[in-house]
Amino acid sequence: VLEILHLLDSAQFDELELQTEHFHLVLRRTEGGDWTRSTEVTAEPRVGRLDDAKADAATAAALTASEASDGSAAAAGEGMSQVRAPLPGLFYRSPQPGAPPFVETGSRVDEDTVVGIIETMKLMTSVQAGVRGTVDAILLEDSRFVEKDGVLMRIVADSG
Amino acid sequence: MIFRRILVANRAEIAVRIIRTCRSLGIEAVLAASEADLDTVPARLADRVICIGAAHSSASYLNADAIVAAARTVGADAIHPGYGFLSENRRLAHACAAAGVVFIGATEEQLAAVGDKLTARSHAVAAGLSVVPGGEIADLDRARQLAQNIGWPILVKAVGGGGGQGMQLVNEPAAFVDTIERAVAEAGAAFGDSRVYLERFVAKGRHVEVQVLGDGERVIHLGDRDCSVQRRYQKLVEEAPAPHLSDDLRTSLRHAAVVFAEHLRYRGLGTVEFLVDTERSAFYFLEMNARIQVEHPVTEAICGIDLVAEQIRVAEGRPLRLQQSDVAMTGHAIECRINAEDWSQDFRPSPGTVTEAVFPAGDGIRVDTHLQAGTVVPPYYDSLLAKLIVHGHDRADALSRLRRALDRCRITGVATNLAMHAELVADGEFVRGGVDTAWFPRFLAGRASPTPAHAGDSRG
Repeated sequence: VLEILHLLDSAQFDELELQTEHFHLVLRRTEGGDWTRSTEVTAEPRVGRLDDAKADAATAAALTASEASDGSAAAAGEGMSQVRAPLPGLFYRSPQPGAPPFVETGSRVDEDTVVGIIETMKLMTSVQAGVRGTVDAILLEDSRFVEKDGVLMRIVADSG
Repeated sequence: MIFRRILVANRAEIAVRIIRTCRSLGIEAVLAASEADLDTVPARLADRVICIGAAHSSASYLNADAIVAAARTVGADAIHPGYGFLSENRRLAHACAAAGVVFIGATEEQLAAVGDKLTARSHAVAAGLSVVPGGEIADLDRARQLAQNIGWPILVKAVGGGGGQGMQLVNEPAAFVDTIERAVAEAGAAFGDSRVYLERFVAKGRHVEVQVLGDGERVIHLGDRDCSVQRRYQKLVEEAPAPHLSDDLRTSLRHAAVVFAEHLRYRGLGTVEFLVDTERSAFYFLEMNARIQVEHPVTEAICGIDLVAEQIRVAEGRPLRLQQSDVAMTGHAIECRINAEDWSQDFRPSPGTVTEAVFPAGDGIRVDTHLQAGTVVPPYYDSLLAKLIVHGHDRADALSRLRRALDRCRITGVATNLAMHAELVADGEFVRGGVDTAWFPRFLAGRASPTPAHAGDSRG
């Protein structure tokens, strides 16, 4: 690419587009004279599988299936509050593997009670109840994937 | 043994990086990928892809049995583990040996020696290096005594911790016992190893590391790197060589790293990390990383050496190609880690689909990335999107290239920290060079309110 750029620098061109069977490359001269590139590898991956990868694939299917359990299944009724995922990631019900869950159905919570953790890109974000009340239902199992704003649990808010 | 086929057991930019060297050496590269990574840039670049399990890394990239089974299935001669995941894992090294596949990394014995922080400390002492004043805690009485000798403030560190995890700062004797008890409990729960040790907290410290390469007989160094720009122990900017070190200090650091690696009869590519106490003008051994590191390109830039190629060569059982006198360093290199993080929202991670990925090109510019338009950035893995590396005649030249290069980066679809880098590289203290690890938090705090970076447009 550098050699191409040197060639282009000595010419009047401001843009070069190169398309091959395997990739697509665009070089552009910016106003300051510096170059940018954007590449796209278009070759199709050749994917094989381990014989014993079937079990893992099943786990993956289970993991992705849980993505469907978002807000649709959990209509909010009177005084019912929904706890939603602040960002997409894996939902954990307890602070560490094997530790007791933060809350169970029937647990009393305050606005700032931590009710779960979302792991996104290795960062743990705690999820707070957001309302004072009683946990009515936990809608997602531990270690399942959830989209942003997916409903994790329902809480019956205290009246008054 | 000359490798014909390597299984690349990693993902994202480092997978792309390793595949590139395999190509240049005429070695076939097979990518071991999770279900989430079957249609990525490294998957498209690899000769073949083999699926090793579900998206979550515990089922795939951390699954040593699946990785070794994949190597056997595709007939790979060796496994390159990249960084992170199982790159320093003794179990994988052992499983490789049992399966007759070469693990491209340190020996099992060396992984054991540096993997446990206390063992690494004692090896450093045995090799004659200074370690940060501190030591293991046997009981509370001895811990109190030790704390008296070290002086406050003190860090309580988990033996099994790392990357900023499992560390607690104690400022005064009153909080000491409570902190130790909590640290022991947390270390046991988090790392399955409740041992903790004490270290003096060095407030004005710089993180300087030395790249080493060994063949089991001979060790050379490839210069130093400064990685002091960190947020919560995650590096953001790295440079080589470390700016503003006296010649004496630099020579001593490099020598100490070589002595430590020689003491281990080190085979492979490794990094010896030091804490440089700028107030006392002293340095202490911190740990050794027995793998290729994220920031290796700054060393490659100033040395003109392909570190992955040298690593593969040594793993093939061949002696070092280079003498120390063959290693010539020119100019100055700086790397910015471009992450999928919205720095205006307390660095909130931003997974999603990349709609546009434009990077700078030209002399002295290198971009290591797995991004292109359409790339999905999954929530399962870390947030590194790309590394922008610039190489200049000197630090000022590198900085000027870096500023212009950052301006030309355009990533849309996910939020990035590009705007942070643009501000950071223009900061007076950073430009002067040689900042300590306390600088970046101070830089963040000193900004009244960051300009919002929208997920739709995070132009640098």
